[in-house]
Amino acid sequence: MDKKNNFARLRCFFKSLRLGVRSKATGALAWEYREFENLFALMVLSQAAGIAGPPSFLSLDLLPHMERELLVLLDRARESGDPYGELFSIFEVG
Amino acid sequence: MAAVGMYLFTGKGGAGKTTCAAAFALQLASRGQKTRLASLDPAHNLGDVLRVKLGPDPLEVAPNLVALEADLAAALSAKTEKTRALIQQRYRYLTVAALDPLVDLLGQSPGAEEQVATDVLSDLCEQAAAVGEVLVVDLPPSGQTMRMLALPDLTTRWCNSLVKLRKRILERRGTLNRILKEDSPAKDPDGEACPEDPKHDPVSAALERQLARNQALAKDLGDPTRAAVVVVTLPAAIYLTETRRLIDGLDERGIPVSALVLNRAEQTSPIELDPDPGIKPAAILPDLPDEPRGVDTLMKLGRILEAVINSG
Repeated sequence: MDKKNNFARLRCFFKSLRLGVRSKATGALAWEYREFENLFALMVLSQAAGIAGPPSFLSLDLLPHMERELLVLLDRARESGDPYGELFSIFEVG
Repeated sequence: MAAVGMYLFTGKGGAGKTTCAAAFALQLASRGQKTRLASLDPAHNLGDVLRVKLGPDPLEVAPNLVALEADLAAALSAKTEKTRALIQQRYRYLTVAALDPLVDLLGQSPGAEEQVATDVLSDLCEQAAAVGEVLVVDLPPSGQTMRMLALPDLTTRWCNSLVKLRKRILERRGTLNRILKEDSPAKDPDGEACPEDPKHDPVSAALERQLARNQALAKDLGDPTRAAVVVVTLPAAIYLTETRRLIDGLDERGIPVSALVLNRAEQTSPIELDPDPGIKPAAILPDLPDEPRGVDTLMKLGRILEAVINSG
């Protein structure tokens, strides 16, 4: 019974380690991915923010397919109070 | 017979572009060419010129000739309502009602009228091509026409930028999905994996559709063997000055003018624009004692126009 438990603990440890290494390796990529999605939503809907953007008909065509990008945009807007903090934590500065 | 698939008549308001478009279309139809005559001017008077009541659906006004006046306000409303319906169908987590003001804002933004006119023009081109008709279009006055005809190229450029950015997003999404599998951040609001193949990505598909549509129209407008832009003007200084600006403006947008028409001219000399745009041929239409209305009178003008426009 102990042997089984130890084996399960060991597996759990290695899984966490693997996830940790993966997450560290992909952190910058995931950040870039989210930034690109945010930028895409900003470009498509820039007219709403008073910035020059694509013709509004193009935005109307894309909007029904952009639920995820809109959620990313809203998240980014919430986090925008501490952009440097977020950036530094991603690149492990400080 | 028609030399190209589409003829676009424009000019300063009151120059007679509707009369010329109607006369030219009647002439093409009288020679056996199946023709579709459409007005995209928000202040329609094509029906008045032809002396028939026109609406957004094509009506046969003469043998081989159907005519219509596009309802731009209804087309704009249909576009926003379609977007609203799709959002209601597809969005699950956002409050759909909260997006209503955004849809309204986009539908009423500056330039929406020109965009809906360009959209209708694109539809008309596809419909006419599908049934082998030549399309003759009465465009809005020059300022609106310039903004309208610039849109296919502008939209193409925006689509290209967004397609490039979308490809980067999908590439990174694919990499993250491969490495992180179920822990990938690329999930939709329901927790399902987002598509990483452009063929299955609805945003990429919508962009590609718009790109293909606008590229085709931009290509037609830039090629005088596919689309002939005819500028109608009057022998008055203010008209000639605006005509010069219109020709230059279209030229800057890569749209060549195929022919100039000097309407209601007493003179028989060529159009004098300073500097000479070098656009030939130029048709000179006589100043008729009565306004040309109805099929028979228009046919006389149509013969002069066809001889000049199709000789280029």
